[in-house]
Amino acid sequence: MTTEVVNQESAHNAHHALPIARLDNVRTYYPIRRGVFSRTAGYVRAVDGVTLNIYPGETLGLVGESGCGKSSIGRTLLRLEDVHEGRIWFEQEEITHFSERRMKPLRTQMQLIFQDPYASLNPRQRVGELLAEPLRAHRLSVNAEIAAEVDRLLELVGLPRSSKDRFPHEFSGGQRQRIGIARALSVQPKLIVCDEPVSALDVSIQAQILNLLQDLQKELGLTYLFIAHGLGAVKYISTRIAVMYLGQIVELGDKNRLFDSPRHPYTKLLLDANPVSHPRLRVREKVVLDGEAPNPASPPRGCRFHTRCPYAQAKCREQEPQLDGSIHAAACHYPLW
Amino acid sequence: MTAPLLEIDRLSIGFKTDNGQAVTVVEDLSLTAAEGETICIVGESGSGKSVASQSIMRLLGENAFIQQGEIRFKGDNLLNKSEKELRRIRGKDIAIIFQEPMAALNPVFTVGHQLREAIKLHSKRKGREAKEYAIDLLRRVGISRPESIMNGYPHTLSGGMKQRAVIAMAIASKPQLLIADEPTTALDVTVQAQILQLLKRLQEGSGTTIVLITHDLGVVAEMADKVVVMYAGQIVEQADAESLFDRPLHPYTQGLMHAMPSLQKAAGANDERLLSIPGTVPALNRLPQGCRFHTRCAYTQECCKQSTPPLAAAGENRLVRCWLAVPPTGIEQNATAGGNAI
Ligand SMILES: Nc1ncnc2c1ncn2[C@@H]1O[C@H](COP(=O)(O)OP(=O)(O)OP(=O)(O)O)[C@@H](O)[C@H]1O
Ligand SMILES: Nc1ncnc2c1ncn2[C@@H]1O[C@H](COP(=O)(O)OP(=O)(O)OP(=O)(O)O)[C@@H](O)[C@H]1O
Ligand code: SF4
Ligand SMILES: [Mg+2]
Ligand SMILES: [Mg+2]
Repeated sequence: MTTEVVNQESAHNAHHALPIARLDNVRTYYPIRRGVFSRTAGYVRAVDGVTLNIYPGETLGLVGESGCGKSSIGRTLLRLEDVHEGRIWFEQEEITHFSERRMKPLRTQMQLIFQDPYASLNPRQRVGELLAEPLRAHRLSVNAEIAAEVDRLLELVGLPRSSKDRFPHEFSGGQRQRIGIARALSVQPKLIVCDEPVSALDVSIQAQILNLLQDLQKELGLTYLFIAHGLGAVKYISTRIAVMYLGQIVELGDKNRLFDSPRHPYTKLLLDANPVSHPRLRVREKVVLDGEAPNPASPPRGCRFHTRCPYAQAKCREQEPQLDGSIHAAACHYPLW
Repeated sequence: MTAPLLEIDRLSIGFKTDNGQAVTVVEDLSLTAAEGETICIVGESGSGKSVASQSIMRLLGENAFIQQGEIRFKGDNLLNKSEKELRRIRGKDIAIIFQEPMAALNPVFTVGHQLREAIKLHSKRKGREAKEYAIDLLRRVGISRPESIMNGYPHTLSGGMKQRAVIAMAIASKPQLLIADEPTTALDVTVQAQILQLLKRLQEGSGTTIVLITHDLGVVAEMADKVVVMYAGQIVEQADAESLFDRPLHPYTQGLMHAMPSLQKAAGANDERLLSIPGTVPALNRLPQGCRFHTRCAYTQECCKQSTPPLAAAGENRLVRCWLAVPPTGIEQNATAGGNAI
C-alpha cells in the first residue's frame, strides 16, 4: 500500500466506520485470444490498479465513459471475475481467493441489479416462483412462510400481490426492474451493485425507481455501488462519486464537492458534456471532450488521459499521476485546484 | 410568405393488428417546421415519435395506414406521391438517421463504398470526384483519419464513429430536412455532446431543418427551437423551447421536468426526493376515456375523465391539451396548471 492510500484511508476513517467492502490495488484483465490455437495475444486491462473503499450505508456512484471498466469493477467486487492482481475484502475478511463453496454464504450478502432485468429473469417462471426460488435456496423452508415473504417483497417494491401469478413479459420495463430489485432483496443482502439500473427506463419511471432504491436503502440499511451513464441520476442518489477513466479511478470525493468543483480535467469535461437543463444555459462553442478513450489493451504511458487533456504537459506524458491523499482525491499532475 | 418547409396537418396513423383490429398510434398531429429550424419531438417510449417521423418518409410498414391528414413538404402533399417520386425525395431532400447506426450501414461493405454509393445516387459525382467528396464529408463530421476509415468495415468502428459515418451519408446530398430519431440515445454523454455539436454546426453551415426525436429533456434543452411533447399518440403541448422550460403548462410536461434529475438544480435541491409521475403509460389499445393522462395526473377533475381536451391555444405560439389550461365552457375552474402548480 502506498502512503497516499493510507492517508486517504485515515481521512475517511475519521468520518466513517470500517468499510463494508474494499478493493486494494485490484487489476482485472481479460485475455485477448487470437488465431486457431486461441493464443493469448494480450490483455484488456479493464480494471488497472483500483483501490476503493465502500462504507456501510453509503451510495458510491461510479461514472465514466463506456468501456472504462465500471461493470468490471462491480463484477470483480462480487467475485464474478477473476482478478489478475490485488485483494478484495468484504466485511474485514479477504475474499480474493475464496472457493465457490466459501463464497456461497457471501453471495446472499452481495447482490447485483442490472440494466435489463428481463435478461436475468427466467421468462417461463411466474413472478411468485422467481421470488420464492432464492428464498427456498437460502433462507426459508416452510411454504406458508415463503408465500408470506413473497407478498412482503412485492409490497416492498410497490407491486400488487396479484403480480405473483404473472410472467415477466406481462410487465413494463419499470415493473420488471421492480421484480429484479425484489429478487435481489429476497436474500437480505447488505451490499447491492446497481449496474445502470435505470438507463433503459423512461424518464418518469426512472424517478420512481431511483426513489424506490433510496427508500429501500433507508429502510433496510443497504449499501450501494451505483453505476450509471446519466450523471443526473448519479448525483441524485450518491453520497460519494468515483470517476473512472481507462481502468483507473481519477477522482473520488463527496458528490456535491465533486460536481460543484471538480479537480480532475477529465471530470470537468465529463460534467460539461452533460446536456444543460434549460435552453438559456446553452453554451455556444462549448468545449467538448474530443475523440474517444484509447484502447484499454495498450493504455498511454504517463497519465492515461494525456492524449485528450487540454492541460497536458511534458510530465504528464512520462509520469503516471497517483490519486493524492486528500479527502477529495484526484490523480492529476496539474489539478484544476 | 412562402410555405414552411414541412407542414404536418391533422395526421392520424393506425396499425392493423394481428386480430384484424386497428389501433391509432398517432392522432391528429400537426406541426410546422421552417427552414433552418430545429424541432424536437419529446415523449416516452411508445408515444408515437418514431411512427410520426417515419411517416414523413413514408417508411412505415405494410400494416400501417394513414387515417387522415396531410404531410406537405414545400407545399406538396407527400402522401399523394408515387413510390418513384418518393425515392427521389428520400435521401436527397429529406434524410433520416436512426438511434442504431447499423440500421443504415451494411456490414459487408466498407464505409467508403457505402458513402460513395450514397453520393452517386443523388449527384453527378463519380469515381475520383465521389471519393474526394466522401473524404471531405467524413472530415466534416469530425473523423480525423478519413482515408483509413473509408477502407474499414462498419463493425471496426465505435458507436460514435458509426453514427458520424451515417450522418456523413445523410448530409451527402445536402438535404433540406434531416430527421434524426434518437441519434444519441445509444451513446455516451461525451459522444452525445460531440454529435449534438456536430449537428448544430452542420445546420449553421447549411440551413438544414432538423426534426430531432428524443426522450431526453436535456437534449431538448440543448437543441430545440420549438418543442412538441407527445403522450400516448397525441401532442399534449407545443411551445418554443425557452417558454416551455420557463413554464411548462401541461401536467405531463411538468411531471417530466420534475422527474429529470439534473446537474444544475440549486444546491441542496438534489437531496430532496424526485417527483415522479405515478403509474405507467397506458397501452394504446387500452387508453383511458377522456384525457389520456388523467389516470396519472395530479389535477384530474370530473371533466378530464369524461371528455378529451382539445389541443388549444394557450398564449402566443403555444398549444396545450389540458382542461385546466383551457377550461371547458360552463365548468368551474378551480386550479391552474401553471408552472408553479406542482
Ligand atoms: N468478458 C470480457 N472479455 C473481454 N473483454 C471484456 C469483457 N468484459 C468487458 N471487457 C472489456 O473490458 C473493458 C471494460 O468493460 P466494462 O464492461 O467494465 O466497461 P463499462 O465501463 O461497464 O462500460 P459500459 O458503460 O459500456 O457498460 C471494455 O474494453 C470491454 O470491452
Ligand atoms: N409496425 C407496427 N405495427 C404495429 N404497431 C406498431 C408498429 N410500429 C409501432 N407500433 C406501435 O405504435 C406505437 C408508437 O410507437 P413508436 O415507435 O412511434 O414510439 P416511440 O415514441 O418512438 O417510442 P420509443 O421511445 O420507444 O422509440 C407503439 O405502441 C408501438 O407499439
Ligand atoms: S495529469 Fe496532465 S494530462 Fe492528466 S489530466 Fe492532469 S493535466 Fe491532464
Ligand atoms: Mg457496464
Ligand atoms: Mg422511437
